[in-house]
Amino acid sequence: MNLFGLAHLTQLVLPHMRAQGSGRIVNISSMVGKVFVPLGGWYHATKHALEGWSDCLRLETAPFGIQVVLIEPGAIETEWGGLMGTQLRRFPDDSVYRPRIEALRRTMEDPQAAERRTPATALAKVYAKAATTARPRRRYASGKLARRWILTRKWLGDGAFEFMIRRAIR
Amino acid sequence: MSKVVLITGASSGLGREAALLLGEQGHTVYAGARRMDRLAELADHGVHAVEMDVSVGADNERAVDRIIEAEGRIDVLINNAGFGLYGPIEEVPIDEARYQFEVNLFGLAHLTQLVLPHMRAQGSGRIVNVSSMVGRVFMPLSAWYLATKHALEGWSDCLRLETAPFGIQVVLIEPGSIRTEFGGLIGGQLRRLGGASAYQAQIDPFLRMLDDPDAGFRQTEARALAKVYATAATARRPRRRYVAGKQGRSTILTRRWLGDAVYEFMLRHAFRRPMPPRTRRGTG
Repeated sequence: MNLFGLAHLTQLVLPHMRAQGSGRIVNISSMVGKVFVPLGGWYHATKHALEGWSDCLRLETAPFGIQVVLIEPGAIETEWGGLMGTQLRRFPDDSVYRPRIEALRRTMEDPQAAERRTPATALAKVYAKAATTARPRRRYASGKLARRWILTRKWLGDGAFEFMIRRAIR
Repeated sequence: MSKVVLITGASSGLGREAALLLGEQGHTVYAGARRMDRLAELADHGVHAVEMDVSVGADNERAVDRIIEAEGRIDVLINNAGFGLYGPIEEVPIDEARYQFEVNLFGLAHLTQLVLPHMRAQGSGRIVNVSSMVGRVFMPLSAWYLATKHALEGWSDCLRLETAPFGIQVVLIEPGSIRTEFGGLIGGQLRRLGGASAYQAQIDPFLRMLDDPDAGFRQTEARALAKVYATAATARRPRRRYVAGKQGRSTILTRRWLGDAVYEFMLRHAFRRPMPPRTRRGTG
């Protein structure tokens, strides 16, 4: 799972960072750490979990001079979308969820959607900033859709957000 | 209308109170837990006792089969079973973290998978997932517990979208500070580290807060929460989320409207000093 490996690695570096009296842990979450779309239940679960876990880590390690930063990428041009399509095709054709699966695939494979994604190089700059800036923010929401979706849910509520998602994927 | 309800983690705390209340309201209640001796008392109140450990797949299958065989349907699943793993991230073994997820998330997910086909066939049903205020906010020393609850929040939102076309409703309950055995269990875990932790300066104030004799006044009675469970399980048009119990709403709203920085400041303040006594707050 996305979380346990990351946690173990973090445990291994923490004693060194504590000894140094400084250090920074940058955890790559996702916009779905804050919002939700259908058929991504387990992915959302890991990213939601990572959000809370990192908040807690930030509180615990701050007294030792260690900083914890979250990056929440939105829709980015990587192999990610293709991998998701492959996964969705794996489910049987007669799945009772087939209409939802097809709707999500259509949305993902829409050529216009591809144009709306942020290039990975732009995100790399955000990674660099999160890793090196003197006073990092707690969270960097970055890339297409990320800020808009997160803020829609935060300010307009679950009802409005769910309406928007149902409209976007059908 | 009387409903067929399965509730897990029903041997103590919120699950026990909710099982009793739903039984009193005339619903057919199956109460699941590992500790059969503690379920026996519920049986005296007309609640069916089911011996099950949600982290054991065969137990979940047996429980659902039994209910379908006896009742022919299942209307409500209340995923209440769970526990809190506490301790600093650096020092809690990853295997314990995995077990926390097995119980709080994977077991619940398996049980949900087992009831969904029946609910789809019925064209109706409701899954009530018991999260926590720490599904929405954060506190120190509880990373793995709050990770499972954060995960459950997003997972349940997704489940709600997926199952709505089949007439299935998904509801989250987010309890705040409730008077159950939970606090005592946390204290035991934190003391287990034996005072030699690199994080002792954070553990001590946490323990002081748990041991504060006034803390009880800042907790909601489990019985009051049982009513929220009953509403979430049976209301005709349930809300997506029920925030209930002391500190639940205030902490979630503070973080949502004032932001992470203000919330974090408030939290550091709360854990640094003992809480002000009850009388000064003017509540009781």
